[in-house]
Formats: sequence, structure tokens, C-alpha cells
Amino acid sequence: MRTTIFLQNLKIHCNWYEILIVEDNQQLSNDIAEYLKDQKFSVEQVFTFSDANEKIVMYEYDMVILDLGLPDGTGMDLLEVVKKYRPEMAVIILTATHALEYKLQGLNLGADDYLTKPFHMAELNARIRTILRRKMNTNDHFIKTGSLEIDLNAATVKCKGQLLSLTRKEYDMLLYFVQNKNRLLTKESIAEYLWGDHADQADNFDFVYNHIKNLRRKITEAGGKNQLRSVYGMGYKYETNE
Amino acid sequence: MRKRKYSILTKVGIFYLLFTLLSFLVTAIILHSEATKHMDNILEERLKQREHWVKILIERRPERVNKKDYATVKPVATIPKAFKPVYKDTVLLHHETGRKEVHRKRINYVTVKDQHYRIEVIKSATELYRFKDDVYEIILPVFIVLALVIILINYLLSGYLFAPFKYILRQMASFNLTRKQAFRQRTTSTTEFYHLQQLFEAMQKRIVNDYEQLKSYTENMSHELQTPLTIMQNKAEHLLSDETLSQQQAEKIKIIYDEVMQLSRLGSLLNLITKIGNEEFTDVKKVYTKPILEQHIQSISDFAANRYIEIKTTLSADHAFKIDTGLLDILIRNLLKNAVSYANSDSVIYIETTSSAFTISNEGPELEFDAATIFNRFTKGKNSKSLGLGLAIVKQICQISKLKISYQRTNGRHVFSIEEKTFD
Repeated sequence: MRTTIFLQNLKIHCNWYEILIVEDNQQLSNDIAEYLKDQKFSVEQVFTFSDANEKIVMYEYDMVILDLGLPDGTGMDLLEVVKKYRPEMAVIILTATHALEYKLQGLNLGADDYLTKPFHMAELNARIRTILRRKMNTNDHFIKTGSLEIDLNAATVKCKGQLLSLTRKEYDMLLYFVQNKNRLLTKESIAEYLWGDHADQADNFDFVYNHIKNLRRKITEAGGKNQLRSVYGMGYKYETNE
Repeated sequence: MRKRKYSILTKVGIFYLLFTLLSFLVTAIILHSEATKHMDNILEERLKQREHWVKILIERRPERVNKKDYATVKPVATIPKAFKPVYKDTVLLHHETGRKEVHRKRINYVTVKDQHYRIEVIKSATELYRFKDDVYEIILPVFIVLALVIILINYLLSGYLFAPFKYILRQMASFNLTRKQAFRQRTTSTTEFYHLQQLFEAMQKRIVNDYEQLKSYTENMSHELQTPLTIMQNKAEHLLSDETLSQQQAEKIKIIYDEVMQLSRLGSLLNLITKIGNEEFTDVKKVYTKPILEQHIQSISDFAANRYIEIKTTLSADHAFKIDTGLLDILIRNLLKNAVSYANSDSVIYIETTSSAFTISNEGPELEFDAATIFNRFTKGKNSKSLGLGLAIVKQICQISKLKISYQRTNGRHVFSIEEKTFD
């Protein structure tokens, strides 16, 4: 028991997660794989239902990213295979349709999350991390980065030991940045991550800027370093050399 | 004005009755004239006979001539030139029955033994008139009985004969693409209904087939489009991360990125419109709007606050729509989004529900287009970054959910109200 917990903690710290990507479009699959490898995940790719079926039955992955539309079968059937052989495996469904019935069906069948194409890699990454953390039931729920310490259970952030008073959105935004270190997050991606379907507001982008500004101010006021850098005025990057 | 509708059997019945009435009338007229001719002939014969008897009497027993009550004989000096016998009807007391009856009179001039006479003979014509009356008395009741029988048969048959027709109508009315129940044939020996049924079944199959094709087309379209869009979007994002780009290059990539996102939104919204139009949202039940409204207002309050827009609500817990839950969600989201997007900064959005009505209003500049087109697709102001589909979706959701949405401009505010359609 102790060994498992130790291994799990090790996995979280060292990002030893193995993720299976089931997506028939090779280009998209490669893009996802590239992004996730960059995030220190261990990744395998399959492009057909039958290959996916085989891999799921034979190997133990932490998570499968499942596209619903496969050339030789549907992702829903694959989800049932997962739940039968690997009930502990986390599943994120990728789909091109907004259809509510698929979403409900998928979540009822035990999928952990559901992403509609087109999605941002940063968002996929953030969701993967959230799910893995929840699934692994670890007692290590702190992320330390620079002068910041994020408590995931309490949803609080300390800067140099001082508790920051962040709004829920500011907290979510900071976490989104920290989960996607050194990556450009466009304003659109941030807005979509934070406000979901409400995001396509015509003028939500100076709004994102306002939130960033507040977040920066709160961090620098507590003596922290501003690591949120604007890129070409199109998005922001959380810069760190960790 | 709507024209009154009659069942086909009633119409046929009325035409049949009119035709019968006409033929009865013609028959009656012909019968009547034939009978008159016949009776006239008989009377003429009788009167001639009587005249003949009178002539014989004048010859042989002149003293008894005027004792006959059916004849009046008067000797005259001359006979009017070219005289023809004259017939006249008069009312007289009948010598046997003592009642006043119609009699026919024949006036003629004869010459017996070089003496001219004016002879007037009469004969009762009652029978003739009675016979004429009888023609109508028989025909009228027969016509009335026939009419009643036609109406009764009409009434009874419409149930029996038209049962298959009504069955087909019910099948047509209950036909729903999304439920996909097969057409159940009903045996009928009426050719027209049989053909109608065949035709409807074939049509239904064709519609279902077309619908399936359209549906799979939109689904494929959506799927096949979204995957490349995801790739394009992520490639653009990836390129933007490259900090060796010049500002100009970055801006161009940003334009590609924006357009890709716009395209993907467009695709999924058009897909949504198709799905709504195809009535794929069928989980219709009574949904209370208050909790859903509150949840959406909460989600959008950040955006509103950013532009100093206040959302004031008066929500009734009783207000409900009979609608698919998913559709109500889209409906409310779009209306709120619309209100926040087009509200003036530092203004108030009012949302009010009563037990029967829903109103949302925002203060905003005049429309740049005709208010009547506000719910049309791609209608938007010149500087709007939106696709112009939000209100079109709202309208479509209202239409298929039997809700009535209206737009008004009052006191510088854009007011949208929704109420349940009432059918009279």
C-alpha cells in the first residue's frame, strides 16, 4: 500500500504518466503527442479502433484520450472496453459535435471529461492534470513554482508565505498558466478555459487583460516576481526556468 | 376570412339532394302537364257526347231539352261567323253532392232542322283537379323521405367509409422524423385510400431517408471540419509561441488564428441550427426558468461587471416553459449574451419573469438595420464582431418550442419578450 502511494507520488512529481492517444487523424494525434511529451508525459498513439482495443486490454495506461469518430468503430464502444478491463483508467473524450446526448452518454459511461473540437492544447493539458490529480487520490496537493505555492485542495495561493486574496477566476487563471509553463496562452484560450460557452463575447479580451493585470498586481504586491509576460499583445506566457 | 370547411360526404350529399330535387321537379312538371292533357281530352270527349245527346234531344224530344241540369239550350237567330267551341271553368253547386265544385263548360252553336241553337253543356272537373294535386302530394313526401334517407346514410357512412382516411390522417399528423416509427398499413378496399396510403408510406420513407442523409452529412461535415480546424488552430498557436517572429508576421498569424476560430464557431453554430431545425432536441418538459437564469447570470456577471453593466432581476419562481432543457439553456445563454454585448457601458439590464411572461431588456444604441430582420441569420451591426447567429438561434428555438418571441424598442432600450403561444 505504502509502495503504491509512494509510486503515485513519484509519478506526480516526475510526470511518469502514461497516456494513450486514440485519434484517427495522424496530424492531430502528433500535435497532441508533441504537446504532452513536452509536458513530460509518456505518450503512445494509436489510430484505429482495433489497435486501441488491443493496447487497452494489454497495457496499463493512466489515461486514454479518446476520439469518438474512428474509422473502424466508435469511441463509445471503446469506452465500454476501458470500463470493463481498466476501470481505474482515466478517460477524456474528444469529439467534433456539441451534441448533448453524446456528452451525457459519455459521462454516464464513465468518461472523466469531455472536450469539443477545436480545443486548445493548453486546455487539454490542464484538464488532464486536474483529472490525474483527482484520480490518483494523492496527499501531495501542492505546486511550487517560483515564489508561489499553490494549494490545490484549498484552492489558495501563497507568495513568499503570504496568502494572496485571489478571486476564483484569478486562481483558475493562475493555475492554467502554471500548468502550461513557458507556453503561449492566447486570450481566446484563456477566455474559453475560464468562461466556457460564455466566452465568445465580442469584447472579452481586454477583460482577460484586466484579470491578468489584477493577478500580476496581487503577486508583485506580495513581493513576488511578475512571470506573466505579454506576447505580441496576443496572449500571455508564464515564464519560468524550472 | 377563413372559408368554412365541409366534409366531402356532406358536399356530395348536398349536390345529390339538389340534383334529386331538380329531377323530382321536372318529373312533377311533366307528370302534371301529361295528366292535364289526358284529363282535358277525357272531359272534352264527355262534353262532346253530352252535346251530341242534347242535339238528339232537340231533334226528337224538344220539350225535355231544358230539363237536363247539365245543358242549357237557347235558340238564336244567327251563328257567329267562324265560331269554334269555347271551354270555360266555373264553380257551381254539384247537383248530387251539393258542394261547390269546379265544372267545365262547353259553349257551341248548332243548327237542327234549320234552327240555330246555342248549346252550353257542363261537366264536373273535380277529378281533374284532384288528380293534379295528387301528383304533388305523392311526389313531395317521397322527396322528403329520400332526402332524410340520404342525410342519414351520409351520417352513418362517413364514420364507416372514412375510417381508413381518418386513420391515414392521424398517421400523417403523428409522423415525426426523430421518433422514426414505421408506418402501419391499414387494410382498405377503397382504391383512393389505398393509393393515398401507399403514396404516404413511400413519401415518408423518402423523407426519413433524406433526413438521415442530411443528418449524417451535417455530422460528417462537422466532424471532418472540426478536426482540421483544431490542427490549424494549434499550429497557429504554436507559431505564435515562436518569439523570433517579427510583429508583422505574428499579426498575420493572429489573423489566421482568429479566422480559424471564427470558422469553427460558425460551423458549430450552423450545425446547431440544423440540429434544432431537424427537431433533434425532443426532451420537452416543464422547466422552471428561475434557477437556470440565475446560473447564467452568475456566469456572465464577470463580463457585465467589466463594462460596469448591472443586471437587475425580478424573477418569479413559477415561471416555466415547456421546452427541451438543452434548448432552454442555449436560448437563455444567447439572450443574455446578446444583452450584455450590445448594452451601453454603465447601464442596467433588466430581466423580469412573471408567472406567464419573460422579458429581458438592455439600453443600447439604435439598430443599424431594419428591426424586422433582427432575428434573421447574419443580421448584425457594421462594427459587431459577432456572427449574427445568436438571435436567429433564439428565434428558431422559440419556433419549435411553440414560444412567441417579440422585439421592441422602447425608451432607448432593446426589449425582448417571450411568451407561450396561445391557440384559439
